Amino acid sequence: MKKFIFIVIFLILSSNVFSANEELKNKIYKNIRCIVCQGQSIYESNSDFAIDLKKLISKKLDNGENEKQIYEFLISRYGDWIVFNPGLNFNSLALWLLPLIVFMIGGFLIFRLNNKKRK
Amino acid sequence: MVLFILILSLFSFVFFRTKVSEKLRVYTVFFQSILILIFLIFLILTSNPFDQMDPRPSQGLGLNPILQDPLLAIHPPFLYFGYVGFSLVFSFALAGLVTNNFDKSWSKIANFWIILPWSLLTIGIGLGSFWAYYELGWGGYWFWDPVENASLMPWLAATALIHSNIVTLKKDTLHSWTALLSIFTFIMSLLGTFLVRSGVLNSVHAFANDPYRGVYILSAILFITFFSLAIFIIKSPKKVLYGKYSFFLRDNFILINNCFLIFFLSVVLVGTVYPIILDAISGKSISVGPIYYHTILAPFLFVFLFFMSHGPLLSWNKEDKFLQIKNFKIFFLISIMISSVIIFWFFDYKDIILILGLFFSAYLITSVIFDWFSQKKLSLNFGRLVSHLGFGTLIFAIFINAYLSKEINAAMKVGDEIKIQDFIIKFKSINKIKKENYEEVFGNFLVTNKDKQVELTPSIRKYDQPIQFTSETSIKTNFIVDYYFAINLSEFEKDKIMVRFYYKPLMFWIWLSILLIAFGGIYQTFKLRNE
Amino acid sequence: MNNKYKIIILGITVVIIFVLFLRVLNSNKTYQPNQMIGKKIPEFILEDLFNKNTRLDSKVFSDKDFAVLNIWASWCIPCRIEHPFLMDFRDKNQINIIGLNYKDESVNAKNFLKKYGNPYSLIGVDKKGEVAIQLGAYGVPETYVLKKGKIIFKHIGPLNEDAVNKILELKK
Repeated sequence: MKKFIFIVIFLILSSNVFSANEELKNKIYKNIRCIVCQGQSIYESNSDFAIDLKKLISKKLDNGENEKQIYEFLISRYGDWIVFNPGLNFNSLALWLLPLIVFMIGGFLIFRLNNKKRK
Repeated sequence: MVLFILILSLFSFVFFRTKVSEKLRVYTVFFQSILILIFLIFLILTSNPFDQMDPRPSQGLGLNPILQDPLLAIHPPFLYFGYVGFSLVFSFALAGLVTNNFDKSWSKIANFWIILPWSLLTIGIGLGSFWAYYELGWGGYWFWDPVENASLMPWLAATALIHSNIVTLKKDTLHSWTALLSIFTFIMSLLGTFLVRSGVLNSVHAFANDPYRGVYILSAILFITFFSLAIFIIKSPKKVLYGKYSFFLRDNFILINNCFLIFFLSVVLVGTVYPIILDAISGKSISVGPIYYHTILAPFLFVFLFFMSHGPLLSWNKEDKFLQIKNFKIFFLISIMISSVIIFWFFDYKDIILILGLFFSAYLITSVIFDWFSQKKLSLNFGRLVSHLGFGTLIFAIFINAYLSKEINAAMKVGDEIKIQDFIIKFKSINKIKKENYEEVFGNFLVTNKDKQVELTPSIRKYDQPIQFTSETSIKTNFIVDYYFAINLSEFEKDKIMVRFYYKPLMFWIWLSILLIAFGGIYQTFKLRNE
Repeated sequence: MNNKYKIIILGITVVIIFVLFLRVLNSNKTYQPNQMIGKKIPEFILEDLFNKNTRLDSKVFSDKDFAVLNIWASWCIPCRIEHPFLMDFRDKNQINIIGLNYKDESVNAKNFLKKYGNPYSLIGVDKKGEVAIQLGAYGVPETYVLKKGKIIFKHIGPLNEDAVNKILELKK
């Protein structure tokens, strides 16, 4: 009986590990651009290049590498373009700041309008 | 492009018959004719549809199979009607500016011409999204793809315009802002067309194009932009200041949310255009994916929803802080109840974004329902109520869908049965059908989720002209959840088929919400037409 | 502010936008990753195509002053177009070319070389295409120029006159 419980627990645990790993894989796949396709991620693509990358990524995950290491590896080989998440760095700074500046200008204008009208 | 001009002329013609002062009418038609002229020149110079192909091809290339779908055929006309429809407000605004007629009566007529194309555009975006969900087989309905963004930009600008125009109509203020938005909305439509048709984008939708054509569209757009904005600068309507003011007024809340809408617009605009500009000037390429949009939009969306909930309940002229607080308490209690019940019932993990998303969308829905039942005459505000309700349920459904969706990817062969999470998937059988221009292989699957059983039959089609494989999804829908199945040829093992199963809650509600939003607009246009 | 100045500013903005987008329109839209240029070649050891006992070790590049690494496959049609250039490299210019046979069947690869000639001094077999990814390649053919194990130049697609001249220049 003990043995049986042990096996059940083991199965539950391992199935969880399996699905967590699958989820992580899909998450990474969706975040990697298939650079030979048009605007697709490798998750959505069945091109040779996408398949090779998927194989490589799943191999790297099995070898215990984490998400970040995989992104770093791919960026070192193919550049920032391959990862869909632009992150926050020198090149993407304006990407994050520009809309916020627009918002602040808008807020300032409304504020000024309010004060003016109150007089 | 032919369609573009046809719609331009059509709107111009219909406008000709509306009751409006002679001067305004003449100028509006004048500006509209200039637009028609610009696009006619473009058509003749770059892509004369009556040109004969030389040499004449013996056999057409065949339509790309994923485009051989009736849904696809109807969504661009809606989008175009929306895009081009904004041209009339644009011309009308310029006419109003030139003749110094930009006032309440301008707004009254403009109202119809803004809401009509806006409703059509809403339907167009919804249909496009539905097509992507149903046809592409990736289980998603919005990919933040540049072409989708191109349609979202004029939508956001027009949504801001509708609201600022209401303020102009009710309080005879904000003239310059409304005029600027009218111009801007059409420019966004043109920009969208440029991005899609000039081939500057890396996108699933990008069409084959030559750069010459791109340069022409670009020049035309900038020409239109320059002259319209120059007219705006010179003839900008004089500011009307009015005495009484308070923060808790409806027009102020509308103005605040205009600021939010412009922020959303700039996020989409920057996210779409920035990477291609960066690449052109520095040679550095970055990719802007969904993560960027979700991260930057979510926090602002919540505050936006809050203002949207309270705005319509405020008076235009009388400050009413106390009612606000009373409402606030009721809405707060109800929405916190709804969102906490849902979160503890369905989710075993708590994410702050999810909690806030559910809370604020529930807040909006509660406030709209409250508003609905406190109406003296429902038909007066029916359009607004329906559209706002639709927006609330849309955000609610999007959040539930994003966090409760499940997906299973596996390689299977006939007879296999796999058990992952709560699902048992059984691959029962396979059968082949031969059609006129393709062969289709169906897989029969049985999905068991707890005590529920669903049978799904996705397929792979092999088209022969040109040879191409497509994956046809099989979707079982009900009010609560979609069971979504797609199959592909296997990439790893040759004797198996790649199976993708998605469990997508509240998809039906996403489509219904978009319909509600559009329906509110259509109801309003009919009401305005009858007036 | 005066209306005149506002319009001038508007005009300037419009012109800037025009120039920017013109650059976008004229820029090359096929993405070329050049992340690896200036870096040392990643480490790998591959089996040789003809001799199972010989290994292609990426360390060999460190010893060589000048070497060309060419990724090719027998199924790749552009590779046939560039093949004469590679033969010229070996015969006329005495350049040491090392091949990387990408996702290919050995039999086909050997037949290909029998038919068109073998310009390579060594050929590593990259059956799964993993080394190509290590190199930052995304298709065939691609050509790398190395100096003392460092990648100094990369050409994507079949070699042409321009690329050949560039490589010969680099050799000097």
